[in-house]
Amino acid sequence: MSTRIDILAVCGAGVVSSSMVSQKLKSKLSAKGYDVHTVETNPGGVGETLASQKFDFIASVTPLDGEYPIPKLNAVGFLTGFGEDEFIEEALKVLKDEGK
Amino acid sequence: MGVIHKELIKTGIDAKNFKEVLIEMAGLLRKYDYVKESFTDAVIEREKIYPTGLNLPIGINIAIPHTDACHVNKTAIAIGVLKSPVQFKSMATKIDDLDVSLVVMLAIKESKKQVETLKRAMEFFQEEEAIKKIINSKTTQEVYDIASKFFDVKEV
Repeated sequence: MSTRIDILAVCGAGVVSSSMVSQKLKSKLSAKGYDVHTVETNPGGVGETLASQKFDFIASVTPLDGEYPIPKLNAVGFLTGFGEDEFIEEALKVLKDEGK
Repeated sequence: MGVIHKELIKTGIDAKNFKEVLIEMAGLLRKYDYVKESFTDAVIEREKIYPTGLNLPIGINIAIPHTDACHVNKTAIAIGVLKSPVQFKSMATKIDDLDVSLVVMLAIKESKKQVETLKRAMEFFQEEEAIKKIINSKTTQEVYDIASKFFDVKEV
């Protein structure tokens, strides 16, 4: 059975760009053998969402000022196609550090 | 029905700043009732707080302005080719200015059901040849022919 991972995708509206990022993450990380679950939100919803559910990392296309207990990764590369592989490498490292 | 419509494409947009671009493009969406009256103000406000300029690896900057689904009647994509570049702030940093010459305004009603369209949009942004052709297009028909090939897929 593949390991479940939970990712919080964040963008300005909490809808469009984060859905795009979610899709990419699902296809890229499923290919690495993970069972990928995502939740989309906007920056204002990050704190509340993190409090309500456990996530492995945050993938955000917008700069987030807050300090969070889990790693936040810049996901804007998924919109432009530039730096996707680097993002996935970083994500895999984060997951490995978490023992996943 | 696809998401690309000829009446939502405009070439040679002559604007001084991003606000003028957004007003013009949101006006197209509004004219054909794809969005509610509140959309224009909402998309401008959203752009100010969460800018949407993207620096594509192909050396071209685009912007993908959009806002909450509650301002949208029906999913559609408006495409604007600017006469000369206009500055948008970068989505990634919110600080950097990007000279944008192509604006893809997304009116998305239900993002969960429109993942295919969004996925296509991302693939589209990476098509160097198509993007360059669009930027140099003089007529809406040229833009339509290129864009509809990418976007018009069946939604689930």
